[in-house]
Amino acid sequence: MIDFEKATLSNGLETIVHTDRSTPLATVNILYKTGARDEYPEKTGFAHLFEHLMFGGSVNIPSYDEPLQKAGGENNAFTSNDITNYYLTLPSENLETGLWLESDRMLELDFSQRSLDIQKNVVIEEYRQRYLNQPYGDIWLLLRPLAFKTHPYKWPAIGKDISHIENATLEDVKQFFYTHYAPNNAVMVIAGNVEPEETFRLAEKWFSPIKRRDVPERNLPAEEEQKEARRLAVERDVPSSAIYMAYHMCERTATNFYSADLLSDILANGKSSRLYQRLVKERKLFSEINAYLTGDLDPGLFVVKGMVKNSTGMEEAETAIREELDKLAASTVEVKELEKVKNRIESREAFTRSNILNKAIDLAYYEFMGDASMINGEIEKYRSRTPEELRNYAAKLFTENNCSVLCYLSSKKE
Amino acid sequence: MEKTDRNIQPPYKLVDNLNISEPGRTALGNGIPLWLINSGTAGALRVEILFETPFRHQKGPLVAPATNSMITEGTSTRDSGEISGELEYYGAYLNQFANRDFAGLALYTLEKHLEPLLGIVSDVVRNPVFPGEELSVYLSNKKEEFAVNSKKVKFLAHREFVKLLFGHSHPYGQLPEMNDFDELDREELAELHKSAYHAGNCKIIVAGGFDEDKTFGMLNRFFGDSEWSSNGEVKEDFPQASSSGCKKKFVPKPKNVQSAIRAGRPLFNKSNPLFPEMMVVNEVLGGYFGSRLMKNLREEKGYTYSVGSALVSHKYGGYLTVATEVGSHVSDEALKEIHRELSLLREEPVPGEELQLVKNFMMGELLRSFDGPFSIADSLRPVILHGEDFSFYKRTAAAIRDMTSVRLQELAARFLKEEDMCEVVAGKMKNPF
Repeated sequence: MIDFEKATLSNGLETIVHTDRSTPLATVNILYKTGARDEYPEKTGFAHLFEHLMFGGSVNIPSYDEPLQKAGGENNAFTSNDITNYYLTLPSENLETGLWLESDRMLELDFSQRSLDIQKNVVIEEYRQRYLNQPYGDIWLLLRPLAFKTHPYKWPAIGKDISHIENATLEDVKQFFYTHYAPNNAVMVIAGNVEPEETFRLAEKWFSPIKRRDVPERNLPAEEEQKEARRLAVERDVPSSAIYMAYHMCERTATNFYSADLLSDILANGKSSRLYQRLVKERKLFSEINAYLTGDLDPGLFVVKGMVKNSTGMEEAETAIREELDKLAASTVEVKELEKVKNRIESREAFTRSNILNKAIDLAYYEFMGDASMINGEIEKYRSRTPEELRNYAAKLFTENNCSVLCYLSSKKE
Repeated sequence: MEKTDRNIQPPYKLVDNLNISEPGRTALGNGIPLWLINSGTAGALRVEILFETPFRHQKGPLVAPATNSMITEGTSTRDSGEISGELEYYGAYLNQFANRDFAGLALYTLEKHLEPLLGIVSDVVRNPVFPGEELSVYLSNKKEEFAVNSKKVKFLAHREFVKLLFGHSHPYGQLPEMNDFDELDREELAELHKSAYHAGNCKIIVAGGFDEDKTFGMLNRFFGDSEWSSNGEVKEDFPQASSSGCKKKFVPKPKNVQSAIRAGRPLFNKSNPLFPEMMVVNEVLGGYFGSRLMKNLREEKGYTYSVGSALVSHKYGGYLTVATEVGSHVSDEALKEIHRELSLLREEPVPGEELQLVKNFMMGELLRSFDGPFSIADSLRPVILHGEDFSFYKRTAAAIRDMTSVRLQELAARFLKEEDMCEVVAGKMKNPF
């Protein structure tokens, strides 16, 4: 059970305080409710580029990092298709330094052409390092536009193309800030060795002077139902072929999300999972296999990914995966097997919630989804899923017409 | 409303009340040292079982990792599927790790399932049979993984760098080659298991929230009996590094859009009294986000997404490494800037304000490294494996507090000489070495 107190400041900033006396530290986590899905199709990668610029100094504070490091703190951030999330951790008695820094960059950034030029280079190198210079690195650049035709999930958070980053102007960047960065478009969580009343007072002191901004209502095109199987084959200089099979699934807040998560665990969580036992150990078709959810807020993807052994044909690989998915759609899982994956999820939650940073990030995300108190009801949502619900949802998900298959072929292979 | 002055940092305190208290050490009935790091709260815990892996029982670089991975693939009473099935039914996660020096298992579980899980873990640690069929699946899949890694410039650069540092005949310089995965005799695994996985060579760390008496009782029952005895202490001679004298290596990868760079030198490990002071030198050079290398290569030049330096500590010796991946069109320039930063540290004292910032930041890092039972255990493991104790962190805190610009320059002049540096570039270079 994670206890917290919640208040909304006069400018609309949702603020949550969670006290944990077992630590000498405090965390400030600010989630901005904007991500790559809010970008224009011809200007992708902006939310993430913007995240980099948030460290380039704000209107009253030339350096973000140095004052934090002086106060013994450290920080980082990440951008997804749905959110941009910033966090810092520091000794709890220095909390006010964290609030001072975060409030100033919420107030206004020190936009400079030089900072933009450098960070464009840094992000281009990040793009190269993660997507272009790694074997299999471009898979999500291929799979997203195959699976999504209208919803902005069709591009990854890093951006559709390097040229979008290269062409970003200072004007674009300013516009992104004033459109999406606002107290009334953010959730702040302060967690750790802090006293709630004093913490709310400090939050009020530093954040309430920031004016509310007009945040346009989000109006994204929903992805239309996929009506026929999709398939893309590419050849790359990699030692083994890989196969990705992506199925459209429900949104994060739907009950079926929990069924899907349990199904993915039955398929591939751990060595006792079905795909590992049958396709890696017994039939020796894959060297590695996995199943997971993209976990997006809007309807996302259920993905099965296999590293195909050089002795296995691609058709054989695909058929073998489909057979296992069909079994889930055809008959209910054993009670003991379902109990196993529920037990695994219970352990996983216990360990991920063992430090204040993870707790703060999760509280912010649940509040973003609708209500921070959902954090305490997750286990029950998994526990109450039945074998029948899983089978019914599997039958709905795992159809050929709902699937996008990416065959990533080794150019070495015949 | 309170008045705020946004131009001035609010008052802050330096970390000086660092509470570095040594976790209590106890022992099981057969003498296995045991550390219980208990928060007294939620019922989730991690049990780590650690062994030293002696070089003389490792005929090649794959023996130790293969042995440690294969212990869960069959015992005298359970087959591979039964082991994973039982472990996972109780919701547990088992993490297995091994290098040339140490091997171990980490069991993550809720306290309510601890007893049956310890029974299984004890069985895999004590009675593995290394089935040949399971070994061939393991090797074949690892071979494919190795082939994929061999496409990564950072993997290639790291391999060549380690070879330059230690030489081919040193255990740390011996790395797996593709054909090593074709055959591995299961007898070699059994031999390493016999010589390393016994009570006289075992250490156990438990961290989390749990009932200490009950946990001790269970561990004693499954690991502390006299039937599981010592096979003698692991003692060996210090293997000599035998570098060929060559210090530079270029691995051409003309198609890659980034080059991986490694630069560094052999150095002592944690047991050396100079190690804590060198941690401060390393921090200034490339140990944190605001380091000299990050500021220069990333924040001023935009050559890279990330660059950093680290001190790596092995059982015998260690090394300093600078690591980055840069646009392949600027490999030469990036290397030149790395040289410039090394020379600046040798030739000019670090300004007082920068040194103060680094000290504050490092003290904050130390504070974070003792935040909660899991962090304390993470800090304990590397020191006890080196035969040290928490006094290492007291020395570190003292070294941070006492460091001066003069002393830092002295250390840099002694340990960051350009002629001592080994360097590897995998990717493209305009002027190869």
